[in-house]
Amino acid sequence: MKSIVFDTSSIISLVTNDLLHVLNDLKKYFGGEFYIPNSVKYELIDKPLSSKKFKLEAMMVSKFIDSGIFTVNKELDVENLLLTANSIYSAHGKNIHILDKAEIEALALAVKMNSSVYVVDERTMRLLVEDYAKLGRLLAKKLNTRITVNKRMFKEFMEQTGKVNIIRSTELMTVAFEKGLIKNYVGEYKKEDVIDALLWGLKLRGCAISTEEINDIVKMESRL
Amino acid sequence: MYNFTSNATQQVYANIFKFIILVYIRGEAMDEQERNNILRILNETIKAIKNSDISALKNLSNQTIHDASVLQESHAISIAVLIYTLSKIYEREASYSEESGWKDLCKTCDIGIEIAKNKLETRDYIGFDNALRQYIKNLSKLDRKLRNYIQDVLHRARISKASRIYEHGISIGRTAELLGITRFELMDYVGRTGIADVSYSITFSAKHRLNIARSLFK
Repeated sequence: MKSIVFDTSSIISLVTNDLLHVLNDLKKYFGGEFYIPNSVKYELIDKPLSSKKFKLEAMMVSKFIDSGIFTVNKELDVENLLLTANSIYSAHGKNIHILDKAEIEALALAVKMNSSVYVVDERTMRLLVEDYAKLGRLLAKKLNTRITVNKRMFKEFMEQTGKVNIIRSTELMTVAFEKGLIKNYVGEYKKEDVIDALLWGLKLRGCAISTEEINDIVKMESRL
Repeated sequence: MYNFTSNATQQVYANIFKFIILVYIRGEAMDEQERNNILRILNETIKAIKNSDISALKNLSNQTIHDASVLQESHAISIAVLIYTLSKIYEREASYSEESGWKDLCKTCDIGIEIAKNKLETRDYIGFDNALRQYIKNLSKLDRKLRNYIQDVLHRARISKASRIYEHGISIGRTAELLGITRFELMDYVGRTGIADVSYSITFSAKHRLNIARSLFK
């Protein structure tokens, strides 16, 4: 069975833009399962439900899980992978813990299910998987210190994860737009304005996409 | 303990206690380099308070958050949040200086930093942690209006400092965990910054990633 795994950040961008319902139709086109690990459910629902802020969004996500859009996978043992990922970069002789358990659990689930893609809106996980050297340079520049990259640990991390394709909520919603699944505003506004608004909405709610990438997508979509 | 009189009051105390937990470090010893660094930051903070230098306070908070990103150690994080909170308190002096309790608040802030510094100088780590906790506790004894303001500033300080740690390359999840905030709060804040626009954030072209997505939904 084909599958897509979502991490916490991608679902946050979608729910805070009231776009979760689009996944209903996208799932039909996909013809497979949408998964989230148990720890992601905890971060999305259980934790915000205990506070006033974002309680409503937590309830919205909960409703989508109940309706069967997402399948919640039971807890995975990711201690070893977590330790490996958090031992790749160090400064002043100390390992820099770059990722948390929920993020690693979502990655491990994508690997376990041999998922088509892993949907991640936050930047660090994407950089680690796609360009670990760049993440090392970012850490060195921003922390203004020498960063040591433990290549043996990175190799071990790659051996445990293999090649994982990453997309963001922005690519998902662009495809939904191309399929005519976001039709509320089309007709009333120009096509390029709608896609621009959609992508900026996701960016402003935390999706790590640059202005340059948004402009490129808008250009591509206006030519279709 | 306190007698809670309303849900709002309860919420204020709950948030203040959340922060107390953040600075509750059980008197763990710190290495010499870290101790010296925190002492230097505290000394400069005292100087900045005396000179009413708000921008110096903000710079000191930023310096501390660099260490916090690497060490991810609760002392450094707490100090960074506290100093940033101080900068925000003094920044609003004109609006709140007539409120009853304002002078007490300033006194509490000044003395609290001095006590913490003295404890650290004598390597009294338990005393240092107690001083930080007492410092926050004292803020909860203020008049309601000021207390609400401080509670709000403390919460915003945590989110602001979290966004700096995320900017340094630590993930959303790990950062939210370190600062004791939700992923929702952090995502909402970082989305309004330019963090995603730096060249280090881009790996593949927009076309390449979009083609991956297109291939899934035929």
